Amino acid sequence: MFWLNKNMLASRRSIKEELTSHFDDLVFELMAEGVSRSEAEKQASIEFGDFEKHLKETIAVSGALPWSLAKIFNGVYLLSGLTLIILAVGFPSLIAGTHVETALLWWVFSCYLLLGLIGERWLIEYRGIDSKHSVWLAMTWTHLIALAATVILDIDKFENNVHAIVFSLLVLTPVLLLWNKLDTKIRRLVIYLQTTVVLWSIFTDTLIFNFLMPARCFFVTPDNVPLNGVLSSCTQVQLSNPALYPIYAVVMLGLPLIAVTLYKYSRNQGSFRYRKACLPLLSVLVIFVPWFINDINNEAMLDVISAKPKIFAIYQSSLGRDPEDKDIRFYAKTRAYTNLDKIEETLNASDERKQVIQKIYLNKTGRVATNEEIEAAVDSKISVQELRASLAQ
Amino acid sequence: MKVSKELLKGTSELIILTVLESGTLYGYEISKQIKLMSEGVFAMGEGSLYPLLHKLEKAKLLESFWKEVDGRRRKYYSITRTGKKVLSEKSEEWQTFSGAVDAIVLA
Repeated sequence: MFWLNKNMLASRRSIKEELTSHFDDLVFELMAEGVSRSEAEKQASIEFGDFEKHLKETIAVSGALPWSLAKIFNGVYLLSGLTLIILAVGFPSLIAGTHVETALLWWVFSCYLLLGLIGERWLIEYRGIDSKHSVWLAMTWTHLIALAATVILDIDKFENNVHAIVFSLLVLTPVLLLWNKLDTKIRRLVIYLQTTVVLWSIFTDTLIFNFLMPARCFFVTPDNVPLNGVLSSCTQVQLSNPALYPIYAVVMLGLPLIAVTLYKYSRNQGSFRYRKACLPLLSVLVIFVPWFINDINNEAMLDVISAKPKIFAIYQSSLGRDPEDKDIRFYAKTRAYTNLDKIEETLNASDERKQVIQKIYLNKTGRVATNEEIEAAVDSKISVQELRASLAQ
Repeated sequence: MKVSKELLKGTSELIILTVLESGTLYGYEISKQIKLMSEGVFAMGEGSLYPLLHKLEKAKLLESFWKEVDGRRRKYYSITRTGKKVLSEKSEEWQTFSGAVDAIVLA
């Protein structure tokens, strides 16, 4: 992510370089007239005026990103991400497994959110906010990021994302028609709002715009589970479905726009050589990387993360132990994690639970439990901890 | 004789576009050229020159590129097609305005 930081600062840095170059020219001119270097620098400082003030004013006009964003990104963001990765990978048992993974997944999501917003800001600031052209460019970028995130992570949020894109465009249609009459601040706000909504859609389980048109379900998950409504009213939507063609059309039309813009951007303000390679590379990666790594979540291990704390609690309550990895993998693959009551019921009726109850009776009372006692414990759904406590009294 | 800042403010965009119409220049050259062409009457300070250059660039009236000459990197500005169109409109506007002011002041 270091190159991202550099790019964020490049615009600001190039303005500083430009002003410094002007200052140096003043010094060299005075020196050519026979003034000593130190005296020339003194005179040039007086003539040039307050360097920092000029720098700030020019940056404000140009829309270059401030230092603080980069500091936040490096200091807080990367550090927190690394900490989460170390905790999740290095100490899984120490943290009882689950919440760190959830936080890590959110961190990855927010990486995409940041990537979307920062990229969009580059595009907006570079192209200006005046034309609708800029709006389409910014939206295309956002959609690419959001779609890439859902495909790379394979998190069953593709439908949410498409829903948010379609409906946000519909909602924005009147705004776009009135675009030329809107204030610049409002235009900016509209674009950022749309970006946030689309990117947010990949974090949520519900369809964001459902309130506008209560859904008869249109999308179903790969294993034919309807997201809304009854199955008979649903249509299976594959990536090749013509229903998605308008989305693809917007994205495909936007791609050349993004490529040309990034090229111009790097050419005009290429104060760092790597920018020329990095910016176009970024746009290419966002599109093509998913094709290579879209099997990260093939076993749905990312989907199961949010249900893991509850699964752990159910296992502790029913069997007095944590679930094994193979159990979690099974729940993920079969999507059984979507029905936690069923998991609890199955565990309660399992032979393992009966054996656990038997062991507790032996330990606490010194005798073998009768079948009736075991059945009573199973039926009452009493937790292992409660049973221990009650027998100890 | 120096001209007041207020007078310069309203015409600074026109001045920069006019200076750049004749060729590609970097910031320092632009300020020198303004001084030279106005025979020392206009002296645009760095505090107003660079924000204005960036404002015009953002409005797509100017475009810029970095170039290394004699080991020093400089940002060069040139006028765009839109910039030329705006310049011609502003020049016309200026001629009407200055003609009207002349007509009153010199009457």
